[in-house]
Amino acid sequence: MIRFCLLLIAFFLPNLAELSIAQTNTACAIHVRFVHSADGRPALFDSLVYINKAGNRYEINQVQYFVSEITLHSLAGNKIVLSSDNPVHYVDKDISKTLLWKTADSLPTGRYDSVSFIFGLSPERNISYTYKNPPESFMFWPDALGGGYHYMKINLKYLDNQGELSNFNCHLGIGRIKSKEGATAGFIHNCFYLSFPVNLTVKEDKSVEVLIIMDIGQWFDAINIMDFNNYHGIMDNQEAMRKFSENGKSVFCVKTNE
Amino acid sequence: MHRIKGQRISMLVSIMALLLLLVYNCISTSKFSEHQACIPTPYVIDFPQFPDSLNIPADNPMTCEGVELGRYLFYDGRLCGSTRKKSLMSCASCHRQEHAFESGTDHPYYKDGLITGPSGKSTPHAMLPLINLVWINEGYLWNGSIHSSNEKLGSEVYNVPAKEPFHYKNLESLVWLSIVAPYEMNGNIDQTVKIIQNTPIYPPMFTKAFGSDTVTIDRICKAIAQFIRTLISVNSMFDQFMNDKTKLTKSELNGFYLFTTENGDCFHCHGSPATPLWTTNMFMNNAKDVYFDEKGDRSMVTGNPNDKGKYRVPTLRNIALTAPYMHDGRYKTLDEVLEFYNSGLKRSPYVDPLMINVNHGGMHLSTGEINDLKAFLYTLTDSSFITNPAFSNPRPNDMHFIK
Repeated sequence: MIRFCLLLIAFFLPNLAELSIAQTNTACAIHVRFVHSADGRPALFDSLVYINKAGNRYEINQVQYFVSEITLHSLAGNKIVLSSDNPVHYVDKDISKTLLWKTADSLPTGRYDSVSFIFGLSPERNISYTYKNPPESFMFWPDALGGGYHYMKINLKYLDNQGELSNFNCHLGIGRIKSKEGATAGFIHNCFYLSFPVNLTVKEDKSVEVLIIMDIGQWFDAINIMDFNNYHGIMDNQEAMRKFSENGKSVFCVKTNE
Repeated sequence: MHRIKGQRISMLVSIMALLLLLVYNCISTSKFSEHQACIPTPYVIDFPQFPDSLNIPADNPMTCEGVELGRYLFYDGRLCGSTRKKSLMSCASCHRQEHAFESGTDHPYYKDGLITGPSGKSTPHAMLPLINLVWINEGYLWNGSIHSSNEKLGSEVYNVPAKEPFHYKNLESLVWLSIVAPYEMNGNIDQTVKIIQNTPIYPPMFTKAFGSDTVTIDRICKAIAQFIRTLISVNSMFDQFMNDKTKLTKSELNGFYLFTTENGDCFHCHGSPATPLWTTNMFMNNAKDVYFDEKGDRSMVTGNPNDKGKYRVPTLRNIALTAPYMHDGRYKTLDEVLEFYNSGLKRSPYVDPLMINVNHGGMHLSTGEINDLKAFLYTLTDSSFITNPAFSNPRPNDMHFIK
C-alpha cells in the first residue's frame, strides 16, 4: 500500500509542479506587428507619389530590415526581451509573415511603461555567416566593408536632375572608416537603440500587440535632408550612412493594443 | 524445492518461446525476403553550409536506387519514345556534363547552344544549367512558372491531359514537359513508357527503386528528378579558398572585392560566400532592354505588369562553362556579359531598383578591373562537378545512350 502511494505521488509530482508554475506565471501572449507609413499615411508602394524635402519625386519599391532585442520594461524595473534566445526579427514588406512576429513569449501581468529595440543588429549579433537561409542570408554585408548583415535595404526609384527615372538604394550596415589613402582604418557600427514610452497594462489571458511603425519618408528628411542625386550607393560611404542613421532615430513610433 | 521446480518450468517455457520466435523469424524472413530486397536505400543530401530547405516532394523521397535509375534514363536516348539511332534523344542530348549540364556554345547540333527540338522549334528560352536545383524553392525555369503552389494540370499546347501526374509543380513536371514539348524531345509518353518497359535493363531497376517492375511515366519522371537533385556543385576553387585549402591570386581577390562591393554591385543579386548557391534565385529585370513584349517573363506567372522583363537570377557556379548567357542566350561569352554590365545597361521603368549602376549605364570599371572580375568568376568553376563519375553516362559503349 505504501509502495502504491509512493508510486502515485511519483506519477503526479511533475504535474503538480507544472500546475504551480502555471498558477504563478499568469501571463499573456505578445505579438509584434510591423507597419509602414509614409507622409503619415499607410505607405503606397511602386507609385511615384512621394516628394522629399530635397525635392526628389520618388517611389518606394522594397523595404527590408532587422529589428533586434525588442524589450518591454515594467514599472517595477523588470525587462522582458522578446524571444531572448534569438531576439532578432527580419522584416520584409513583401513577405507578409514577417510583418507579424508571433513570439513564443508569455508576458507576466502588470504594467509596462516603455518598449525599446535596436534598429539593425548589435555588434555582438552582427556576425557574418550567422544566417544560411533566405531571406535573412540575402542581407549579407561584404566582409571588406565590415561584414555581418545589412541592417536595412530600402530600394527606390526617383526622378533625377535630368528628369530620368533613376535608382537609389538606402542600405545601412557597418561603416568603413578610410584613411586619406583610402585604406581601411576601422569600422563603425551604425545600429542604434530606440526607446518609446507606452502605457501598457497586461492582464491575465489577454494577448498584447506591439505595433512598430516606420515612417519611411523620415529616413530622407527627419534631420538631414538627403538628395538622392548626390549619392551612388552608400554602403562604402560612412558619412552618408551616419546621416541616414541620424534620421532613423526619428523614423519609428511604437503603439500597443491591449 | 517447489521454488526450484517452478524456476525450471519457467526457464523451459522461456527457451521454447525463444525457439518459436526464431522459427517464426526464419519463416517470415524467407516469406518476405523478396519484399525486403526491394526496400531502397535512402539517399542523403547533407551540406551544412547550404540552406536547410531542400525541394524534395514528399511522394518522391531520394533513394540510391532511384537516383541510379534516373541517371540511366537521363542519358538514354530512348527516353523520347524512339529506338531509331537518328531519333534518339534524352536529357543529356542538351544538358552536357562538361558544361555543368548546360548546352554550351560548342554543341555539335545546336548553333550557339540554342536548342531546337526534332520539330525544329526553338525553346522559349535559352537553357539553364542543372546545378544545385534541389535548393530551388522559388519555382523552376527562367520565370519560375513550375512551382509547388501551381495547381494547373496538363497542357493543351503539348497535348498533355489535364490530370495527375501532369502538373507544373516540381522537377518531375519538368521531366515530362521535356519529353513531350515539341521544342525538346517532341516525344510520346505512351511510346516512352512502352520502350522503357521492354528494355531488359530497366524492369529490375524499377523494382529496386519503386518496388515493382511496372514502368510508368510518373516513375520515369520521379527517377530522373531524383538524379537531377543529386547534381550538386560545392567544390569550386572559391569553395576551397573559403575552406583554407587554396589561395587566390591578387587579381582573383580584387575581382571578389569588386563583386561584393558596390563597385561591381554583383552580390545583391548573385549572392556571396554567405549565400553559397551564388544566386538569390530572385526574379529581376537586369536592364537588358527598353521594351518588353516577351510572353514568357515573370509577369506571365504573377500577372503583375511590374514584372515585365523579369527573369531568374541564375547561379554563377560554373558560369565560365554555361554559355550562352541571359534568358535568350544573347551573349555567347563572359566577356560580352561583363561588357554589358560595364557599359550597356538600359533604363526603363521595369529595371529592378537594386540595379543602381543603371543610373550611369553600367559599372564603368577599368579593363584591369573587368579582367579581375572575370578571374574571380572563373574561381567559381567546379572541376569535380563536371568530371564526377556519379553524374556521367553509365553506359558509354551502348549506342542508345547519349555520348
